Amino acid sequence: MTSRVIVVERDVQYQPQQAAAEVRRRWAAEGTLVVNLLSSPGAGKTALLEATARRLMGQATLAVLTGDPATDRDARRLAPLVPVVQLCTTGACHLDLAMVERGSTALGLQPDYLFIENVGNLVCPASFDLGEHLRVLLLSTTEGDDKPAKYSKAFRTSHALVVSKLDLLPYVPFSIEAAVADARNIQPELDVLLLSARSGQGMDAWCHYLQRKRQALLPQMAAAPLAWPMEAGESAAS
Amino acid sequence: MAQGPWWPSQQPRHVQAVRFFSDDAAMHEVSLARALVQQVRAIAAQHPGCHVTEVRVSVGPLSGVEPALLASAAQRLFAEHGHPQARLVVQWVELLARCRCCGQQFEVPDLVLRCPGCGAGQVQVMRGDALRLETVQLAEAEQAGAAP
Repeated sequence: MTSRVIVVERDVQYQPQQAAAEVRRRWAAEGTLVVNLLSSPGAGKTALLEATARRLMGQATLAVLTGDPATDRDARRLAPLVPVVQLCTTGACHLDLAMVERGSTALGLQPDYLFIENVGNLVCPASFDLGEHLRVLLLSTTEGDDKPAKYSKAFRTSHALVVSKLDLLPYVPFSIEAAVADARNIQPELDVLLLSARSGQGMDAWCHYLQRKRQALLPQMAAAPLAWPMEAGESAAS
Repeated sequence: MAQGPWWPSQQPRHVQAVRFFSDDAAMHEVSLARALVQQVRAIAAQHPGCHVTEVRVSVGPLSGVEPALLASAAQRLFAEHGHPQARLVVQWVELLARCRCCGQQFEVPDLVLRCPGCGAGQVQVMRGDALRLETVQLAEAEQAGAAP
């Protein structure tokens, strides 16, 4: 009996990543900026989307795919404001590209902005490329400023950190400086925004940020399938 | 601009839901194990008459993989898909990065992804941020013949 060793040396997610890159290109060519929103449960993803939809109403078109392990509560909250499809994962901890594609087919729209509200979890969703152009991590002041160091992959793979529930900052021991310093050790190029969806503080800056990113990223990403935008070429090249 | 909703739906309160069950959705180590087993099976299929004896993968600090969970999921899937002899070896690797500005390569023991040489923040992670399939060992049964 002889044996042989096949050398592969490739990321097991190579194929899903190629598929995500193509979806990213297609969405960009259609004029839709896709934003993957990551956070712990209860950080305020749905509240941010409600506030964003109110601000951008009449200026831009928005749609939402919202992930939840069990219910359609988020979709019910958002439905009066935006077209929304609930992606119910039946307990699973993250969304993947196939779910997002099913959801966007059900949605059947080409909005200016498609938000994907991921399952509330800072671990698992970080490993899945959903074909998004922008990954935004929401960290609320009530969660504590130690989260960037603890959930490093989620922070490493994000383009922007949004510190939410800024209105509660006076009541909780949260240091924005400490959280941002830890997050930028892991991802030095992270954009940082501070806001409160409830009080409206920082919401204008957030909406301008989305508009700027849409203008800057779409032409660039429509041109060619891109591996992870920030780590361009990383898996493909190695 | 228009006052009402921009989208064509006449019933904005109607909520569409798409539900996924365990074939589509799983804990993320199981998803990764599925991708791994799928690739190993594709390789095995190119070598008829062989069976898989060992699969080596590497993971690191930013792989987002708990090795024990991955191993138990993968072992089960290998057995289910006709490779009960396949043994999974998970190798731990430290994070290795390369500066996009000055080109220096460096290990990252403390998860500070900044170039120690020039201080730049544009660094590319070279190793330790994925579940990487390294090698697949196949054993050829003697009676399998000399099919190419």
